[in-house]
Amino acid sequence: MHPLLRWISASGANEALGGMKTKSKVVATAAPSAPAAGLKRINLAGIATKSATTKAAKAYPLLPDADGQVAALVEGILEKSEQLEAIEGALEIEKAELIAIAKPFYFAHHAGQMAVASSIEAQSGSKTIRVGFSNSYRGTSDDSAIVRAVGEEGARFFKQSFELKIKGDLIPEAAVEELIGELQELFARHHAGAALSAKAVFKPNKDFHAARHTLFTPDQNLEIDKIVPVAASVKTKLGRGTEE
Amino acid sequence: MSSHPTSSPDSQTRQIRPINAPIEAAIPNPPTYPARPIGGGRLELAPKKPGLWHAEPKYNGWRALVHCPTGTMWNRHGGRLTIAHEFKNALDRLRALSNQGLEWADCEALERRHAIGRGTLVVLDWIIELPTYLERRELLSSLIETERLSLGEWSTFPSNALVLTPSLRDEGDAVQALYNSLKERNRTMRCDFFEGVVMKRASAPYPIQLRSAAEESRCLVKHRFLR
Repeated sequence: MHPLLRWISASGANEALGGMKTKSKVVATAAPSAPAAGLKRINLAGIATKSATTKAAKAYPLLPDADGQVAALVEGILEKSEQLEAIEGALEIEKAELIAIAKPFYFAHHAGQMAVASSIEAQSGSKTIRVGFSNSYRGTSDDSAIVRAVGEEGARFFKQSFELKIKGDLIPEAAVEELIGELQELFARHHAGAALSAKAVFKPNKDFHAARHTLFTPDQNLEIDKIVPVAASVKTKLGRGTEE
Repeated sequence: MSSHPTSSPDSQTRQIRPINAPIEAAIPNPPTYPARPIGGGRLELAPKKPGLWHAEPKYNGWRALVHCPTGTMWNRHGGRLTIAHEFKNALDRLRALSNQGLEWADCEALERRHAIGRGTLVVLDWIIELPTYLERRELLSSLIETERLSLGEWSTFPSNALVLTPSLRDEGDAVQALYNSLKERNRTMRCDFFEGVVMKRASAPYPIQLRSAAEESRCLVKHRFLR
């Protein structure tokens, strides 16, 4: 038995957490494989019992720093982050500048041709940079702008592209398998089976993040982290929220 | 100015019509998300930029796009701003300016985060397709008074007003001096009212795009203070 499942089973966490649940998104095809013991695919048996909402503490624990190693890392990360941000910003601007110069040349140079180079070279002495123009386009939702720009060719070369997302964990458990089956039948009936694909992963449910600290020992949590690592990031900007 | 796709239902456009539906028939959807600058780090660490750039103060407020004829406000994610009623005076002024060619204004809405300039809209830009930054500034400065707190010429910031952000040409150490003085002004006001400066390329049109609210434009660079 997988150590994670053993812990959940032994500690009674399966009931406390309602087991692990799968998060499914209809995006990419995944070959079915046998589910691990105790875990179910699609059928979300034993969904988490509702527990009181826990919020992250406002005061953050301080990482101990006995030998100054942490302080040195903090200094280094902050200093390099600032330098990197300044350099990345400047590099972005200079690349955009070069692209702006290269783009009119790219279109003028290839006017009337069908064999088109994928890049334009720019040189400084023996040093060379390539400005690539790949067959990849960002979309626009402004269809009228396309029609204005390309006229009748609009309908020939442009079509609406879209993805429909299904939040698998919001579908009532009892309906999941039948619904997925019907969805596949529906797409097959319209000869659109290839348009439907899916990928699924097993993720802890929303209660796990707080509950793990009472259910498992630090060592167990480190072991669990090898299987489903917690998202960790280093924040150098401790300002307000995202709204600007 | 391009009209929003959902407001032009002719036969050609219907073939490639987007999924999005209009919010209300009488009020057009914004033609763009607000222009977002790329991060340039602290100004003193930033290498010199190629070409001609202008600097504006970066204010601590809510970004808002305003449809001037109707006084309707949107946030930077394209949603309707729920605090629009708190800017009535400023919106009335923008409404009055709409018959002089100002249809869409890119603004910073000052409210709630601090006590300075409450109910004021700082106009950052004129959203229009072709004119360069300098051409847009020319129109805006002929219509709207420039705020002068950031230039050290006002001692207070007006509330419930409509003002234009100042614009400083990037030459010599003028922008660094502005950057330093904004930091100092924050200290004297005991408030993070200014967040740094935003640099705008003088020759660039407003970067109109409806692809993503998160998309950053290379013709704008923000240099924030270290927090």
